[in-house]
Amino acid sequence: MMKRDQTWQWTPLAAIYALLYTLNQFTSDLLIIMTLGMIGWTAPAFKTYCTLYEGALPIPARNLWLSRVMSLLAGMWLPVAIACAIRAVTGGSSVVLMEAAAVYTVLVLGTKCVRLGQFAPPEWFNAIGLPIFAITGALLGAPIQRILPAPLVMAICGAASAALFVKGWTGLPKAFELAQASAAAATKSREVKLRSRFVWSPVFSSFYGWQGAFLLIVMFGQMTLGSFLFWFVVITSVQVQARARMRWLLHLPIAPGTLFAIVALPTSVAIIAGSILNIFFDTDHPLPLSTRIVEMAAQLAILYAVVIALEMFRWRRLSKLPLLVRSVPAILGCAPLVIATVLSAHNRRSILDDASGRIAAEFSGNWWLLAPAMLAGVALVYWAAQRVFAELEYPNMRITEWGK
Amino acid sequence: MTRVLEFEDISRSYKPGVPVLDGVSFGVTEGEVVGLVGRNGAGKTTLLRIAMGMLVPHKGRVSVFGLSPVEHPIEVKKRVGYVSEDQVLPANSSIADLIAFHEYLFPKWDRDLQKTLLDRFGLSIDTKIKSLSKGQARQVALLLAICHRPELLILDEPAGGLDPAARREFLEASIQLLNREGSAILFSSHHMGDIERIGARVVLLDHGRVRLDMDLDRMREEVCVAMIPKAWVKDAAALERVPGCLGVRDVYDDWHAVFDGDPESVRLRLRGPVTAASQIQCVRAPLEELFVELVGK
Amino acid sequence: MQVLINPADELPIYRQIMRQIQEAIAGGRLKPGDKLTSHRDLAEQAVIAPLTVKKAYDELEALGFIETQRGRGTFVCEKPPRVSIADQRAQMRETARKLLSQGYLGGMNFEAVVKILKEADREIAEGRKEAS
Repeated sequence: MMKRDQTWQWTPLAAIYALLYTLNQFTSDLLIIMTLGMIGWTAPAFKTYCTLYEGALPIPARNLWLSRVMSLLAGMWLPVAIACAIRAVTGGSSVVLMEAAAVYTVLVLGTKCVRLGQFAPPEWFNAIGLPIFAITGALLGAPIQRILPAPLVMAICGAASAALFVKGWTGLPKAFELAQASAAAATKSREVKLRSRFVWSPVFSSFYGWQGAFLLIVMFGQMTLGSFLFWFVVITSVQVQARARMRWLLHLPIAPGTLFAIVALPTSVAIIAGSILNIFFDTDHPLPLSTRIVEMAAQLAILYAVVIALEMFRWRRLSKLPLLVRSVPAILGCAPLVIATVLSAHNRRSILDDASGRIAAEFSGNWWLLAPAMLAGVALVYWAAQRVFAELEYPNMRITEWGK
Repeated sequence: MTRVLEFEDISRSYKPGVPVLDGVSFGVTEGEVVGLVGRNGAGKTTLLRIAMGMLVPHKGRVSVFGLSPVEHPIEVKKRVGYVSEDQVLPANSSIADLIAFHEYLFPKWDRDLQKTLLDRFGLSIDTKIKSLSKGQARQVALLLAICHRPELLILDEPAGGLDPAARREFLEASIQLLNREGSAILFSSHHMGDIERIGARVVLLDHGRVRLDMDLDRMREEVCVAMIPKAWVKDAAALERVPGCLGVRDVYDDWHAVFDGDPESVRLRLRGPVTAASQIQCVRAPLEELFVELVGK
Repeated sequence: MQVLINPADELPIYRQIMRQIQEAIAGGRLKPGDKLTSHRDLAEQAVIAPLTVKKAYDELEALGFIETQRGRGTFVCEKPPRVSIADQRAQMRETARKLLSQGYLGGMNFEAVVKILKEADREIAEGRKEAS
């Protein structure tokens, strides 16, 4: 049953990312942890104990709960195991990773032990989990090491995990209550503050919601650290989910360009703002300014290209081909990134940094040429992405409920 | 009368070689109410998505108000209302937010109808979508689709999973629209009673083909089901050859054959292939029975 | 006035409406000069398509039972329509045949059917008395 669990499907992806990150010796443990945590947390399956479908089948709740918990834990431990193995070979400490995994385990079991009778714990409960994880992740580096030696941390987490597991296991009902515990009566009206009528608010709230906003902040923050690979993972997962949530707009008279802008611009703004902040604050960055500008433009262009590569299999011009053939562009679109990452690890320098440096050198400091050229390049990719986006097909309207 | 919607020889497959729609052709005229019926998987949803431009046909053309919904999406969508069973409205928005958004997109918004429907459905405008039941959310979706005065309303199993009272309210809202705007309605449904109530025409899809496309009044008067004991006729093929035969079904010891014609003339036609044709039981049947006879097993 | 229609009936909906209005006129519930509900309102009340109601009204108007006065509404005609005697007799003979077959199949004889006719006549008279 674990195989069918949605979280399990993320695991190979997570494992691959873990592999890539550890190969690149420049990525810190923090990034690895955050990435894996993000993947696990943003997977919609995380929130509930089982899908509605499974809940209605005559399978004891214990099996469902167990399979869900096992999948989530595997989603973290398998990549960590791979990363540790690689670290063991290439040299480097894997202690922090394991600590993080232990904390993650505690959190996962913690969220899974609450309100077992019903379908899922309350939303706010899941909500605070992510920040907690992020903060502990940040602290797990040097600061905590001084206070609590690693083995102690592991021991505490191990004990807590065991306790929570037992609590959950014994507290499970025979079957989950599938109905919503709170269904309001028709006439109940909420007290609503008079808000300014920004007409597009339903659109943005459906796309990004408060969780999306949080991720945007995280992306923004990452940009200030200047790391490229990390936000690639997060952004694409946010983008793909955002796009799925836009389906209720498909029958409304909104220009395809507008729709694409809604999907692409917030993340673009986050990247640009983050890069600019990085340029201003990181004054002793090894790379020259022009290179960093080029790199920002390249990152934007790659973002649009990758998001489209992932959607390509729904391009209507390809609709007559079998699914396998249609998926090739997605693989071709993401492959260069993967290759670049691996190669970067070997050369000890990011390939993107190199390429950007070379392009910047072509313009040799001539800003009047560099700026428009970058603008034109990004605009071109944006335009292409928008064209393809306008021609995507939507065979079904199912939205993955984020957090429900 | 102008055609507001026209399907011409539409074909579409999801996997190569497995057509979901295979040469579907029919149209909807101004002010007409057409019911689209068929088994699950017969292609109804695909067809309606093609009408909205969410999918493109592999063969054939679709035109809405004479335009292609793929090439002129905004002009078409401004004049069409769409409700689908699996539509999900944003959970955290209130009804007021959604109405404000739709008012912005559709300048022809009818505030009076909006108020009437909100009262009729018993919904408060400040409620958030996530606190509504499924039926209420569907009613909101219908309200949003109707109040902008569309010339064509496309409903994809709008009443799926709703109780009979909610379904009736849905129909009432649709009739309000018909009364005020004289819009055309194309709706797919499994509830034959609803189609018989407000439909003028019914189109039956079977395995991606149009099996039946008939005016409902004519169907009531001129389509009947003949029940013929298997012993009285050679085989089903002999029945299928009789002019006006729409389909034959195997039911225990009988063949049930659906014919275009009234019982008397059908009995006359059956004189050839069937012994004792005048004794055949031949009855008119409601849409639900005809549906089962034509596409059931 | 209200109509109650059965969507699954083998009689088309507009015919059902026509029949119910004709019966109401025959039974005295609708008197000459009475105003009928507008076809739109009737559509909303009975939850049927407005065009169907309009079709029924149009047919009744063609037969001479009702008439539409522009801007004022639809009314029951003052004078009942002149159906040709031959048509009327043919229609009634068909209805009579159906009635007799029903009776005979149920084991009744002719006198029993006549008794039923008398009972029905009494009911109509009472109905007319109540309405006036």
